[in-house]
This record gives sequence, structure tokens and C-alpha cells, in this order.
Amino acid sequence: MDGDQTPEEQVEIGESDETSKFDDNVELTSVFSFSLDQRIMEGCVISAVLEPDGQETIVAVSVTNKVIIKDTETSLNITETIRCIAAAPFGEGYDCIVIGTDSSVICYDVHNNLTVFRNDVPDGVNCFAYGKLGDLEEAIYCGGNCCIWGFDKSGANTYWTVTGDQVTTMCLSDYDGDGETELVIGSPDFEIRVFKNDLMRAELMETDEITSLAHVTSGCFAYSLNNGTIGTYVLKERQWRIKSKSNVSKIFNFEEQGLMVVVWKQGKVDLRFAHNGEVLSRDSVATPVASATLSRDKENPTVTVVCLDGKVKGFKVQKATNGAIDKTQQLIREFGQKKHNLMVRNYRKSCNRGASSGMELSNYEQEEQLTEAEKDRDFRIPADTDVAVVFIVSCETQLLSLRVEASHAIPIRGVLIFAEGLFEGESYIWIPPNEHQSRSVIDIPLVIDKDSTNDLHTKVFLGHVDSSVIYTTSIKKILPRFCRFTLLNKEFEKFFYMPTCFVKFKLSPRAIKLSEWVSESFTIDSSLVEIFDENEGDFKFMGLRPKHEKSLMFSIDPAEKTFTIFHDDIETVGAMVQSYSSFFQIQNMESVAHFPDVFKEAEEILEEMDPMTEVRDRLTAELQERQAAVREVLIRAEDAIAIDTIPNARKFYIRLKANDAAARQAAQLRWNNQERCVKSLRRLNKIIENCSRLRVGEPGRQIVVTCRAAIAEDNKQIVTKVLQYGVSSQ
Amino acid sequence: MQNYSRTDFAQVGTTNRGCMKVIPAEKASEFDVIVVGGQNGSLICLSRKSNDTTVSSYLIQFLNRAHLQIIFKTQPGYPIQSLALGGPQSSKKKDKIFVASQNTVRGVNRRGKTFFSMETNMAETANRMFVRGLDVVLTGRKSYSRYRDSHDSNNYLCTEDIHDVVSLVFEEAWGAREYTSVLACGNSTLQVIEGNNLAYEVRLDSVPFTVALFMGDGGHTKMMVLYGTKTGRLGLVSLPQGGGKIQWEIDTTSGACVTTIVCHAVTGGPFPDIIVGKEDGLIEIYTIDETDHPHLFGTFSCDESITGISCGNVASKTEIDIIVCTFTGWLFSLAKTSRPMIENLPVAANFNVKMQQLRSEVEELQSKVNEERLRYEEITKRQGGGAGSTFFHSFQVHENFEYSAALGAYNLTIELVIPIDFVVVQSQLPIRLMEVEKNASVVSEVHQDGLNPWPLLASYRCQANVCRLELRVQASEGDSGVINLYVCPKIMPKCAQITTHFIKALSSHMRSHDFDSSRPLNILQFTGNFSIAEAHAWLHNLLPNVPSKCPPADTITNNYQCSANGGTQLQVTYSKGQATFRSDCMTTICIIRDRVSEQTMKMQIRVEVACELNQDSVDHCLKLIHPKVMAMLDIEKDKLYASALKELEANNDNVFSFLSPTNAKLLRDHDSIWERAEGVNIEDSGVLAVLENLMMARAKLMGKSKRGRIEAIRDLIATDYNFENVQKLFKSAMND
Repeated sequence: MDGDQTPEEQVEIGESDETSKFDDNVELTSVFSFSLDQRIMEGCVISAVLEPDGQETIVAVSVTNKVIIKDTETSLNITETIRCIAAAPFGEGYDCIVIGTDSSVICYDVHNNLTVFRNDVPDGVNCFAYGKLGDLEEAIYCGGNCCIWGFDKSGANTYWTVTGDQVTTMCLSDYDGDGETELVIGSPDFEIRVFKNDLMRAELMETDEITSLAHVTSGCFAYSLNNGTIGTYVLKERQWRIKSKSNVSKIFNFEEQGLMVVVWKQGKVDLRFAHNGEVLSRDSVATPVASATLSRDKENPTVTVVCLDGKVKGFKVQKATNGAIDKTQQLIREFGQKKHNLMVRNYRKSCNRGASSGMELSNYEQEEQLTEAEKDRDFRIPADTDVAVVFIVSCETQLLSLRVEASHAIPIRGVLIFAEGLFEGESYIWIPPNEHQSRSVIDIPLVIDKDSTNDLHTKVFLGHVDSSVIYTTSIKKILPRFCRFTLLNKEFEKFFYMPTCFVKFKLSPRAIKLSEWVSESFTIDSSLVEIFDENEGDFKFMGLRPKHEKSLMFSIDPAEKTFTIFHDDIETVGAMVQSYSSFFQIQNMESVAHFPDVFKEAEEILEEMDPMTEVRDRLTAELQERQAAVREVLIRAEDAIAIDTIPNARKFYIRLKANDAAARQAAQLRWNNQERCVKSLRRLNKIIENCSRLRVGEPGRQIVVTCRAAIAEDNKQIVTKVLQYGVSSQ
Repeated sequence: MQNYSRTDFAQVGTTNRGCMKVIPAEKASEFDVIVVGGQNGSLICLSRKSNDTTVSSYLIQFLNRAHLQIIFKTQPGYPIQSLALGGPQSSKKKDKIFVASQNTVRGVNRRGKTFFSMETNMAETANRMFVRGLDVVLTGRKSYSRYRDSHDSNNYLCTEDIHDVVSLVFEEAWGAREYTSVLACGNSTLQVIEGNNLAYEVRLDSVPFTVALFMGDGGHTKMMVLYGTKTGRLGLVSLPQGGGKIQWEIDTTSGACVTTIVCHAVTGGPFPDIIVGKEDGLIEIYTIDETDHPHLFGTFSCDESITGISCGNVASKTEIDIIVCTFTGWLFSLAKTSRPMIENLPVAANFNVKMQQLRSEVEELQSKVNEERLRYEEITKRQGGGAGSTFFHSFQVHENFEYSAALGAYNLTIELVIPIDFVVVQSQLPIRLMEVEKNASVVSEVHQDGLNPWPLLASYRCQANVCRLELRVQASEGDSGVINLYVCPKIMPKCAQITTHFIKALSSHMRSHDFDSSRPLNILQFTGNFSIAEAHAWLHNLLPNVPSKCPPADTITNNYQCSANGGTQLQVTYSKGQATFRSDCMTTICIIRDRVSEQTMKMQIRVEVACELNQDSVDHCLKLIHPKVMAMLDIEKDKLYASALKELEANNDNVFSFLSPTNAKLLRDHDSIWERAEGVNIEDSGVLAVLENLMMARAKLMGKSKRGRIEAIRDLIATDYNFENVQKLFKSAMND
């Protein structure tokens, strides 16, 4: 996909076309610092113009759940737990603060001290993005749990759609460079999804949870992952990525200069080129960062970093003052280092061998002069030693393994696989136990949880058991997307469990050579692939761990020209439909789905939704009642103390204790109910999303829209029909 | 050091410690020159450029030609271990270069002519050298020799490893005192050698690694010596005849090993300043006041371990440059930025030309390497059929594996001449990897399971151009075993080197000088048919910093102090057929019993074990650890109070009007309390382990059940810890 083999901080120097960059002599300078004197909640800092013609000020949320505004004594108390905060220019020339809590969106006008609107969002809001999306009016977009809401300045709901997982970060960016902005969202399920209006345009599989997104320029956005990776996508392709051990807090973009500022949670702040991620200038703050904001003053953009302990520091990008000298020095040093590295390759410490035979004699040349005895002493391995890395399927155990095999029976001293997002960390290491040092074949089981392609950068250490210098080979292997399935072998018919669920769609005339898609996406022996081109019959696949009890079957009916995928896991089927359609570039595709369990679940949720809301209202009322009682008793108890009637006070305090317990219980009940309610809703959204993914393009979007309308209009019975047959069947 | 800036001079290949010096100019009109000896055995002399001579050399990988020219370079040979300047005693000028490699010393004059060569009869490689007048002092790993006018005059064999040596300046006024040298020894002492004998030793708290004469000549008494330790401490000691005295000892800004100390006036004060170079790349400057006490002036960081520092008028007649040499061979100067940079500072146009030049040089080299690579491939192909063998690069892995008492963990640094690609850490014993701020590489751990038998297996993938990697690992007291590192540099054809390190069972024990026998002691005694060497081997496997060879004595006594649990101690006395361990900590005794029994079993030596436990030692141990636990619990509690008070402050106008003094103080200290509480975690701190281990060890030694007790300790720490309670808990466990 991209040039970088293993993502790393790659500061390449010496590319001839980049001489221009010396003109961009800019650096980060610290411009101000002060303290908010409050501990700040992570991620909850914005800058906003709160008065007409006012200055931009910092607004943050303290860990005690208060919204604090810099330089004012007042702080807003919000009863619900705040999750995120944003500024939206809903006032006449000034901003309103939009607060996302665990159950609603509150828009508050500080200037007039009034709540502009307050909308219930059952599952809470995790992030905001303000702006114009496609042909819709400007609105504030709220990312919730598996769904996205949009509200305009009056609080009217202008947008709603579902997505595969929680939305943790969003940005509005022109993803494909067509002049219209798209909504880019990031989720903990490693995916970046792009919505054009409410139609999902693209899914970009990443290697870890997405933690932040930022618009860079038209057709380009930046992202960051939980594992410390940052990178950019330009016109649908990843342009560069860099991994480090720290986590990104925020990314800001300086479009005119082609620069971006990355603020890391550990306190680093760096200025990078947007086109290759190279660092121009670094600075830092002393304590861990809560969040950062960019002032919108075009003339004088300032990045304000707010630390968890309330310390605030501002940074400005400006022409380097004394950086020039340091920079040339640094460049010289980098070149020197590079030259040095090359030199070392050429020149080996020859002196120990007693030969001062001229230092220009290269390593390689010198090699020829070594006697056999000397070579033996080094425990060398034969020069034509080959290392084979192949995928092996063990049918008996239904397990996919990576087999590493060295020729000449050279012992494998270790295997190191770098693969993003496949293992717990970024790598898997195998080093033989002491008692089995001399194996030259090793199978490393791959138990994969996700349908995603992955590059395995395999390094194999070869060498004799007692040798301390070992030969290393690097081999890159691509793991196919649906590597958890393999074509069923006749002998292992017993491992085929006929799936009950399926999705059926018309064979596209574009999909002539099905074998091409199959051989790219599955681990299949290339000699067997051709059978898929016959376009007829049933093809049975065996599931591999952890899908060892879930089989897969393709059924192609040439008479009706239909393709049916039988499999019980709706998400995997969805992924296959999407993979199939993108492989053959199919824009729109209808399908018929048959997932009885899923549809039944959806029905159940729809049925219990009404009673659940009722119960919730009742419980809320009850809770309020209890709380009022507590408050009353508390006041009476304090009064009793004030007038010195201690026995009464004691009585009230005892009563207070009872009331308090009751109130707590009510709160707990309500919380439990709420939790269940939210869970079912989340599940329902997820089901709609999954079903929409069984179709491609417009039919998929229609499902989301129709289901949403049906639920809103209380026309619930049609929901499962839509999920099953699509919208056009109505 | 805001106003100091770095100017790179050259890169000369890897260097050993103390192999770079600045030679003062001959005439006032000339500049001082730099001389540096590399591990490839070549001696290079550089000076500030006066005319445009271009020297093309592959030996010097990089030379900042705008600034420097080569005066001479000698042929490579055996690695240069040490370099010193000397001159006739009569003249003040020291411009003769003395170079030690293997067991020979060569004298080279400033034009590159060898005028003197001396082959010594030392059995070891001469690691450190000190030259003054006609005297050449050399030290190997264990031996000390002084040659006067090439004649072997004094010898001394040290029982410990010698890290550095200096000799006191010999003046007529000394009277009867013999030629006196100071050795920095591995048992945390400075040994003062007068003539052939050890006069006395000065006991320090940590191992001295570098010694230097105070103010370059020993100060006004000529008997003052500066020392720098492996733990990053700097001290001054006065060494008159009869006994020495530590004047002061301070912490430097980091805990890394002090590799070089130089005294030279650079800040313009009345006295020479102390410039300290360290293993982690920090350079620190201290000024000296009238009372001989140091004050930190500034620091500079260069991310590579420093091997040499020297000062002189290298680039400017008026200002002193600090010249620094690093392990990987970078030679650079630190100079005040206030003065105009060296006249021919590359201005933009000039600079681009220069860059172009460098770029083409790099390209040329690149193609040369590619060519060779192809040639190599052809050769291997031609040989074919398994007849030939692959080619390995040999590269040097410069490693340091050291227990740090302050962190309670092992510090491991790896330094290569070429950038590191990745490092795999494989451990036989359960260890924890700790976060090191400086280390920017990406860590990934693999869990132990059916396929992976190793308790710890982790990969560190490095960022571009990283030649130095710092790791930190923590092991539980009592665990011992091997850690293997697979270091793979960015080099083609790819190869890796395996290096091995040992973690000792009693790794947190440090050599100490005293033993307090009034403490309640547990005594463990082994008697049987074993030699003193065997007993020494047990010790070698148990404790850090025990020399592998047994010292020649009939009875050996060593004292240790534990740094992790509040300072319990251990005394080991062993002789032929008997080994006695005395400690106030039952955990230590228990570990020793297990480990030594294991080894005697393996070697099939029949020993009798006698163990005498003192129950009072338990209370004593609890008392030692108590302040640590309390401090941690207190800060945690203060943090909660401070937060609550902060909330109160936010809701009230004038909180200080009604808060009690204690609470008001907590509120005022809110920020500093949070700062102090940062990173304090009772689970990670190891105090819990100290208590648990003590409980387990006692149960084990007395054959009692320890069921439920560990949980009880955790409970107690979490709920209501105080000294009486924990004492009660241990007592009740005793009575079960």
C-alpha cells in the first residue's frame, strides 16, 4: 500500500528534490504560559469566542465535572457526567459551548447565560465535529455509540446514521478531493470510516484504535492510533505513517505552510511537514497533556496546550530566529552519521586480526582473505541457505500456522514477526527453549480475531547453537483478509457445519474471474483456485481457529445468476460482500439476507423499547422524589443543630441515613435500567449497520434511512423486513 | 547551558575512555591542536584550518573541513586504550603524546614522530595510564605499575578491579612520602598506594569510576582528588599521608556513570571549573568557590556516551573551547554562542554547496557499498552448493549492565557504532521492563504460553539513527538467571549478535564497609568438605560485584547492605570447609539457603546446614521498611485531601478563613503534592514484595504454613496500615 515497510520514524535526508525546505525555516516557540489552577479532564479543552467581538478564551472541563472558563470566576455545573466539549458559532458573531454528556447534548450560550437547546442522546456523546458536511447545512455532529447525530443551531436533528462501533473521534474533511466535505470518523475497532452525507463511502482498516483525526488539506487528513502511530491519508491512500511509543493527544493543521503540529499526551509538541511527517521543530510541556486547542485567528495561529494539572502553555509557529545555525549543524551531523553508517559497512575493524592491510580494504574484500579455519571459528552457515516462510493449514486441528523452514538443517535461533494489529503488541517472538535448540522448522500458530489483511515482516535468526553472531533474514509475507477459511478437503468433511444464515445477491457481470478475488482474499493453494471460475456449484470452506466451528460455503447458481454466501457470522459476511464488491468495483448491489437469530434479536429489542422507556421515566421520577426527601431532611437536621435541639438533630440524621440509602438504591435501579436500555439500543444500531453492509452503495444507505424513519414513526414491524430484503422490496 | 552551542569537528571511529586530549600550541600565534586515538589503533591529530589543504581519508569518516585540517595520522594497530600528555619535568609545557595499547607505551611528538617506545612486562592490557615527567603509571584490570624512566619502579596487585588511576603531583616538599597513586577500585574504595604498598583506603558509598586531580594539580595542598562514581556522584577527597578525608560528595544531574572529569577554567571564574562527562551523554560544568565547593553552572546533552573531554583554544584565541569525544567517535566543540561563530560559518549559499558536496559523497559511498554487495552475492553464488559460507559483519556492542539502587532496577545500555534496527530481550527469569523516558523505541512483549517458554520476551524496535538504547529491567529479590539480548543493527547482510547478562539472586545487595553486629541477627552456617574457591563460587553466583577469582586469603569476610528494604545487612565469612552468613533479614537468609543448597546438590558436595533464627529480626525488618510504607501511604492520603480541598476552594470565596492550618497547608501545597505523588504506586514500589517475602521466608525457614497471609498483608496496606498492626499480623502468623 505504501512505501514504509515497517512504520517508523523515518527521517530520510538527502533527497535531492527537497532543497526548498530550507526556506521553511520555521520553528515552534513558546509564547505564554499560565495555570488554570484546576485539574483538567483529558480531552476536554476548547478555545471559543464567548462574547460578541470578544477574544478567544480557553474553556476546559475540570475533573470535578465543571466547565471552567479562563479569566472568569464562574464555572458551569453540569449534573450529568461530561464527556466532551466543543465550540459552535451559533450565536450572533460568537460561539456557544456545546457539551456532550453521557446522556445528552447541551448547547449553552455564555453571553446570554441561557441554554440554547438540550437534546437527549440516549447513549451519550463521545466527540464533536462542527462544520458543513456535503450539501447539508452547517451543524454540530455528535459521535455516540454506533451512531452519529447532527444538530443545527436550533437543536433540530438534521442528521443521523449508524456505524459499526463507538465513535471516538471525528473530523470533517474532503476525503476524495471532490470539493465537498465528508465526515471522517474513527472507532476503537481499528477502522476509519468515511461518510458522504449519510452514505458510507469508505472503510480504512488501521492497526489499532483510532484516537484522533484532523483535516489537513483538500483530499488529505491525518490520523493517530492508540499504539502511537500517526500518519496521513491522501486521496484514499495512506501517504506516510510514523510510530512512536507515546500517544497523540491532538493534531493541528497549518494548511498554508503545509505543516502540522502534533501534541503528544506525554508532553511533547512537534511541528512536522504534512507531506512526509518529518519533524521541523520540537518543544515540550513539563506535565502530561489533557488536550490542546488551536486558536482560529488566521493571522496569528497559536496552539494552546493544557496539561492535566491545569498548566497552560501557548506555542506559535514563527520564522526561526537562531535555529539556522543549529539546523545546519544538525544537517551536517545527519549527513556525517549517514556517511559513517556507510563507511562502517565498508570498513571493518580489521586490526584485531593483526592485518593493518590498508583501511580501504572493504569488509567484503577482506572476507575473501579469511581462511577456512577462521570461518569455522565464526560458526558460519552455508551461503546458499534458504529460508522459506509459508502458511500452513493443519486440517486436523483446524489451525493456520506460519511455517519457517531453513535449508541445510541450519538451526533457527529465533523468529521475530512484526505485524501491526495482529498480535498483542506489534510483534511476535519465538525463541526455542534450551532443550530444543537445533530445530530448523518451526510452525507459529496464527489465531486471528479480525478479517483484515496484514503484512508480516518476518525476521529469522539463523546460526549454530553456540554461535553468538547470528545471520538474519527478512521476509515479508502478506496475510490474506479471510485467512481464517480454507477450502474444505474431502477427508475433513466432518469439520463442515452447514451454516444456517446466508446472503444472496445477483452475480455481477463484472465478476468474471471469481478466482482472482478468492486467491487474493483466502489462503488457498493456487492450484485449486481455478474451480471458482466455473461459476457453478457449491464451494465449501472450513473455518480455522478461532472460527473452527463456523464453516463457510459459496453457492453459485448459473441459472439464476446468483451468488450465495453461507456463513453464520454477519460481520464476516458483511466484510466479504464489501471485499467482493470493491474487488470488482461494484458501486451498488442489492441482496437478500437470511440471519434469523439477528432479526429475532432486532425484533425483541424493538418490542421492549417502549416498555423500557416507560420504566425509565418512572424510575427517574422516583429518584427525583427520593433526592428531594434527602435534601429536605438534611436542611431540617442542620436547622435542628442551629437551634440546639440535639435529640431532634440526631433523629433527623438517622432519617437522613435511611433516605440517603433509598435514594442511592433508586439511582442504582435507574442506572441499571439505563444501562440495559443503552445496551439494546447500541445492539440495534449495530444490527442495522451490519445489515446495511450486506448491501453495497445506495441500497445499503437506504436501509439505514428507512430503519431510522420506521423507528421514529413507530412503524416497527417493517424494520426486520427491510433488514432482510432491503428497501426496494417495500 | 543555553549559551553554548555544538560544532561538529569530525567523526573518527570508536574511541576508548580518555583517548582525546588538546595539546597546547607551540607558539602564541598558533591554535591548540586536538589529538585522538581510536579503537582501530590510529592516532589522529587535528588542528584548526589555516590554509586549504584537503586530506582525503577513509579513516576519518567525517571531517568538518570548514574548520579543521589533519596534521598527522598514524597507521592503525592495536586499539588505543589510553592517551596522556607529558613533557619534561622542567618545562611547564606538556606536548608529548603518550599512547598505551596492549602492554606497550609509545611516545609521539606533535608532528607524529614516534620518539619513544616501551614494552612493559605487564600480563594484562594497560587500561589506564597516567604520565608525569619521567613517570608512567599503568593499570590493568588488577595490577598497578609505575615506570620511572622506563624502569619498573613500583608494583601493586589489587584484589579488586581497577577503574582508574592518578598519581599525586610529586614535589620536593613531600619529604618521606613515597610515590603516591590513587586507584579507583571496584569495592567502592579509593586505594592510596604509596610505593609498592597500600597505604590506606577511602571508603565510598558507590563504585568510583573516574579520578582526576583537583584543579588539574591537586589543589593548593596538591593532595586533593576528584572522583566520579558509577551511580553518577561526584566527590572531592583529600589524601594526605596517613589517612584521607572526603571533603564533599554531591549528586550530579543524572544517575549515569561518570566517565570523565576535567578541570579547566572555562566560565571565567577565579578557579578552574570542573567539567564532567557521563555515560548517558550529559556534560556538566561546575564552578568552584573559595571553599572548594562546587556549584552547577550548566549541562549539555549529546545522547552518546562521552569518552573524553579536553579544553583549549582550538577555534579561537580568546575563548576556550570544550572539546568532547564520544564513544562512536564524534568529536565536537562546545563554545559560547555569544562570540561570532568561527569566521567561515556556512552562510546559505556556501551551505548549499557544502550540502551538495556531502550529498554526493554519501551517494558515492552508497554506490560503492552496493557494488561490493553485488560482488559479494556473486561470490557466494559462484561457490554455491553449500560449499561457501555466509559473511558476517562483526560489530562491536558496547554494553553496560548495572544495578541501580536508586531505581531498584538494572540499567542496561547498548551502544553501537551503527544504528540499531531492533533488540530482542529474552529472559529466563520473570523480569519487568520499566519505562525509560529517553528510550523512544516501540516495545512489544510476548506472553509466556505453550509455544513460548520464556518468562519475558520482548522486542524494542528503534527509531531511525538510534545508536544508543537504554533499557531498565526489574527482577524480584531471590530470582536469578540469564538475560539474552539479540541486537540487530541496520546493516546488510543482516546479522545479529547475542549478548548475555546475569541477574544475581541478591541483586539489591551492595558491598558496604561496616557491619552492625548489635542488630538481631540470623545466622546460617554451611560446614562440609569444600574448598574456599568453591565457597567463593557460591558467593559469585549469589551477589553482584564479586570478582570471579577467589582472593588469596585463608578467611574472607565481606559485608553487604541491601538497598531495597530499608537497609538490612549481610556478612559473609568463608574459609575452607566453612561458610557463615549473618543477616538481620530472614528473606536474605532464606534465599541464600535455597541457592547454596541447590549448588552443593549440583556439585554433589555434602554440607551441613545450621540455621539459627532470631525472631526479633522480624520486628527489626518491619521497623526498617516502615518509614517507606508510611511515606507512600501519606502522600496518597494527602493527594486525596488536597483534591477535596481544591474542590472546596472552587466553591467558596475565601476558604482560608475557615480551614485549619493543616488543611490550609495541604491546599497550598496541592500542586507539589500531586507532583510528588506522580508515579508513586505501592504495588510497583516493591515494599509490598519486601513484606510478603519476609512473611514467606520466615514461614519457609520455620516450616509453617503461609496460607492467607499474603492476602492479609495486602489487605492491611490497603486498609489500616500502621506499625503496631503489621507487627501484630506477623506475630499472629508466627503463632499459627
